[in-house]
Amino acid sequence: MSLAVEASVGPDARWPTTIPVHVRIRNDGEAPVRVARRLAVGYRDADGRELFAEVHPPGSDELVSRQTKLYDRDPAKPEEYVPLAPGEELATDFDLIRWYALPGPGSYELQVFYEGDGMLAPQVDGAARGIYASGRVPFDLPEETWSA
Amino acid sequence: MSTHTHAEQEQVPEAPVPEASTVPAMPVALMQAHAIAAGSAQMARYALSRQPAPAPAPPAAGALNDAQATDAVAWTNRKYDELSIGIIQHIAAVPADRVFTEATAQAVATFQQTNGLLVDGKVGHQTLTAAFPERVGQSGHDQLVHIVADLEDIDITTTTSAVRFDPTVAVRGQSEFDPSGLRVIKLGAPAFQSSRILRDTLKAQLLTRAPAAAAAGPVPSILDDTSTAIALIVDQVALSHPHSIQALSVLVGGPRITAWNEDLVQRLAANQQANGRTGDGIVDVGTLEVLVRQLIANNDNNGAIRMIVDFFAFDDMDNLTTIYFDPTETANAETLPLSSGEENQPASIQVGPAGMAQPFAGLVHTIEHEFSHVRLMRQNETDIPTQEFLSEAIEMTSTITPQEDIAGFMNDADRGEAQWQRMPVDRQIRHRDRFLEVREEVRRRHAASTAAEQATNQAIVDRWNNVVLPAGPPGP
Repeated sequence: MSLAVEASVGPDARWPTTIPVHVRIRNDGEAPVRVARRLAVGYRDADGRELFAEVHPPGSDELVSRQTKLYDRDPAKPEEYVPLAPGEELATDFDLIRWYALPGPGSYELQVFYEGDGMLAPQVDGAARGIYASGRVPFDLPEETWSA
Repeated sequence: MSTHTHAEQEQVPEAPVPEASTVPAMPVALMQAHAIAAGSAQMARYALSRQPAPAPAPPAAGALNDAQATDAVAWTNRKYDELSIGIIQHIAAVPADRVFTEATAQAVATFQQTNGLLVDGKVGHQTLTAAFPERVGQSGHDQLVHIVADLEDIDITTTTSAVRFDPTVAVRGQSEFDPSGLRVIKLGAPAFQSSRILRDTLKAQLLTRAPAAAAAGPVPSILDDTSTAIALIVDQVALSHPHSIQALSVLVGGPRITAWNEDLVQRLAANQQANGRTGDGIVDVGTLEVLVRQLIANNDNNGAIRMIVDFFAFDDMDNLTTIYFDPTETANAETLPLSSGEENQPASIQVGPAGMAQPFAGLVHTIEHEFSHVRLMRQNETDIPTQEFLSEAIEMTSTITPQEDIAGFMNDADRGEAQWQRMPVDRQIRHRDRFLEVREEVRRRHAASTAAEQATNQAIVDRWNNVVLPAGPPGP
């Protein structure tokens, strides 16, 4: 059972208005695996989410992304866990800056994580276990400029 | 010097608190925990008042001389309300006690100096604009709307139910109208370029006019004069916010009005009868549920939220900037902004479609839960598991809101116990009594449920029963 998480940051990322992130979750194994289809974003130490993110300065382990809200979301329902055949993938988009504050414009590295069996998540037969991380994705975050 | 010239605002006087000598000694932390548990505004205010007094402001030793600092204090206290001062204190990176002192003025001056602005200790448009990017980057849009409206004395509440950031709006602003005729202002990212642009956008959107109201139907005659008069008295207490009354009046086929009258009571009675209830014209919890369901079905989500907040009189400890329905919200609800290391943030609540789709009791509890967060943010509770445990506890032991069914209750219990396990020991010690109180309720609800429900939820109850509470004296 193996999932590959791939993340990318859109070229129109601007501080502080938007940081569009595209995430793909692919079954890299040889057997089907169940994944929570909704791919809801939240925080590492929270429930009611399948995805969370971390942002670091380039080449550093310092965590610079900060939580910006307290949210109340139910865990995914068992029927929301859909089978992914080998090679099949799910994808979603979210705006990183609606969930995480960053220090300002600059260069960063983004890592996105999938965890379908986190706190309070239902026990679903065949579901992926544990946390799957993307590679660190470097991205530039220029300051928003406004036309007159 | 700041250049804006709008009318000055008067400060709202503080609510009175008990004299210290008349109240028995009680640890502040314990008192605050009780206040949170009870949702008691008076007790919470008192608990705050019993915190050690902040050190007296040091002599103005910064960018401003004494006269400038004094002038900045007087100016700010005339201009801004307490929530805005709290926001200013976050901008100036000083403790957000909501009191603007000479020390705060010096901190503002330092911020101005750092940003190459005119240094006067007064937060006008230039200073606010310098703070915009960081606030926007922390999802602090509602704070910025509040402070700009406060600075410019822009009325964003009387005819407007919500002003919200909408990332799908590409222009500065758009307006739409709730079925009640109240305006919803949607602000795109371009509105947050600067303080003045936000001001101008708000003012422009306020010029939009609501569609004409539908003609009111004939006033039914369900109740006699005495019953109407009694209902009127009760209803004026049950729902007093003008937005609640406006949403109700339109819902029941009346004209857009913002205060109760006999006709509205009669229309409510007719609506009750049409929905299978006794037509007594009185808003009780059962009637509220029927009304909220109708409002949601009519897409008046802001009306439904306002009516719930109004009826249950949830306390925000004067820390709520705004609450509204956000169709782009992916959670049931959220409270924001939250940023580690920045305590005591003026907060807002956004309720999403999933929250509105819950059974009535679940929706009420969701809103009650978020109000708990708002109070805890006011009380500087920065530990997130503690925030969540206490807010689940509010839902599970509330005596003012309808009980959730056993599934909903056990869902809260499941989450509450998980959060308890993640709390630091000092917080667990501080909230031991609260834990015990909630555990008793978990046991009671479990014992009162059916055998099948007991079997379903046994594992959750076992987890509560297996918690070993930490020993030790409560900390300060």
